[in-house]
Amino acid sequence: MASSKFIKAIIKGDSTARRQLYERYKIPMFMICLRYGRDRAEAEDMLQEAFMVIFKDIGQYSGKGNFEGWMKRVVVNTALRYLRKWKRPMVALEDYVEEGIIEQESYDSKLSLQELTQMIQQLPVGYRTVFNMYVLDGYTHKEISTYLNVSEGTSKSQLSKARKLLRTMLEQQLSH
Amino acid sequence: MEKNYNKIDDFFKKAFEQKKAFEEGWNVPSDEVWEKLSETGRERKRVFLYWKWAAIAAGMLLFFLVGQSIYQQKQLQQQAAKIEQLEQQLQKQEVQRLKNEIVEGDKKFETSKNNSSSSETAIVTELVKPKSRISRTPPNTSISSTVATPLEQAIVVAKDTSEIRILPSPPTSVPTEKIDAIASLTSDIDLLTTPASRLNMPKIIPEKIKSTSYLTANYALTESAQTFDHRRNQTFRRSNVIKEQNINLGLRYTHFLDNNWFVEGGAHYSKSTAERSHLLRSRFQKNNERPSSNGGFESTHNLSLSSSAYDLETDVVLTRSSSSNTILDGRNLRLIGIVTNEIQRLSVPILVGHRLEYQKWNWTMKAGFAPTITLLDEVRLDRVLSSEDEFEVQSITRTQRNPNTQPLSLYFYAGSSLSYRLNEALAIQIEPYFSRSLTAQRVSRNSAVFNHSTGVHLGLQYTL
Repeated sequence: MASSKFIKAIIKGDSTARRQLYERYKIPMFMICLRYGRDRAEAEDMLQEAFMVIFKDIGQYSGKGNFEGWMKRVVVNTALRYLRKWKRPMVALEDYVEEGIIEQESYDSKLSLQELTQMIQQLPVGYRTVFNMYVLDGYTHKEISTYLNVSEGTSKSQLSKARKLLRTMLEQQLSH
Repeated sequence: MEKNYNKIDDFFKKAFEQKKAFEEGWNVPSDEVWEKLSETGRERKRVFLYWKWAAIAAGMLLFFLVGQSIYQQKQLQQQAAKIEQLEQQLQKQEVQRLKNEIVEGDKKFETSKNNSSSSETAIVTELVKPKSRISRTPPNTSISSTVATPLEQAIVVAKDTSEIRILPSPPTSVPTEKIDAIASLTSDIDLLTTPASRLNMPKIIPEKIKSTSYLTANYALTESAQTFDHRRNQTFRRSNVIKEQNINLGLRYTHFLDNNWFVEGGAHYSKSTAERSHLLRSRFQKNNERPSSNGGFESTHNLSLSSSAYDLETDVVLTRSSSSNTILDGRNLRLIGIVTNEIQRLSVPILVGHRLEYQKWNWTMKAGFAPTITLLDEVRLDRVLSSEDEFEVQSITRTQRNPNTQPLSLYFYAGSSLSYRLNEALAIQIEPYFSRSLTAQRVSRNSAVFNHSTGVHLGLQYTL
């Protein structure tokens, strides 16, 4: 997909090439945005910004490694910038508190991706950001603390609370 | 516990990795996204064109000012040369005329040698007349009392021609009554608002003035755009447009150490309101702007050491400000959050620049540029209240800014100001300006913030 000829065409502003790239990746990238955004409108804003960055910076893709992975990174970074600018990920300052052991049942995977995405969207922005970054996008707490300008303890605390909320939501969904 | 929670992690992880995302409507972005994306290229071209013309205009203005300054200097030199030439011609003419008169006087003296003493006195008087025009000696000085004969007197006069000087009238000298006015117009009215205004230092400092005090009032209207360029990831760049109105009152005291150096201290209180909007959105997605507004008070105290001869200044500025920032969701005009900040900032700008000044009657025009490097440290207390769906989160953060994370900001100013002095104490000033600054961050976030602004200051200055 990302041959050097194709990339050059995008850099030059070839609208057909840009359209092809957009059509090919709009769904996976939009799903990332949906996870980070509060709603569809916000996710569309993020996606639009992310593709603008991709069109501009595609020349920086070295050709090594997974192109889709590079794009995902761009989308996540754009989403984070978006949140930082407009929402300022709200993170509490309290230290990470170990909570008691919670009995865990195995979760059924009957829930659709849409339902799971909606659950994540319902999290407060700070919980949602940390959960997405740590669990679904593979960032470490150290990296999260750097990106969000918070301590590692805060990142852990937010993750813990996100899990707790998600567990409650899952239980509610499954009980219906 | 971690193990249990990992099950939630695993559950979500597997779900998002393994479940195939079909095109189902909910996960397909609307067509609007592509439409806006395709418009972006055109918008960028427009932005580029705007800056191209702005740069050309600024360059032309600078070229004009420099050219005018050089032209004026050349004219002055030419005038001085003409005057010198004229002076030499006049000297020659005078010498020639005096020689002729001496010769004529000799002849007359010879012919009237035997005449009465009364006629001798008449000749002496006639000979004295030209001397009274060219000599510094008062005409009523009695020559006969110091010179024995008119011939000897005439010789003395001829020798004295070497002292004849016709002083050129000063073509561009400032009338003495205006010197006070120039001196008291030490700088822009908004000394503390921009480094640029600090550049406007007095070029002429009469020796008799050692210190002055001013009361200033200012109104500033600024439109600026910020571009955030986070280089580390090379993935993000966004822009904001800020329209700001600022009104402030200040008191300044200037003490001249000598003709070149002066120290200045001041206190400055201002109230500002600003409206922000996302540049890219606001250009082609008007119904989805994310506007925000903020307002607050700021007090600034500064102490500076400046040189008028070298256009050099260093400052210590302590700023305390408090502001509240309201962020609205432009789509449905819902309140997203309120941020209140209390900031104490210590900055040390070092300014080296150049300024040209042109004066005519009571009007003064100044133009200059002022690259500034600022070292700063900041203590910030943020209170954030956000309405996020049904959740409300409030957090308070206190940040001691590490100097390493924001060690430098570079400021460039180009602008001109126009002042009108109503009387010896009161002056009004208009200053349109353009500035561009770069703030670089290091360590955890390698990023840069570019800021350019254009605006106008309207000011009133009262000299105490």
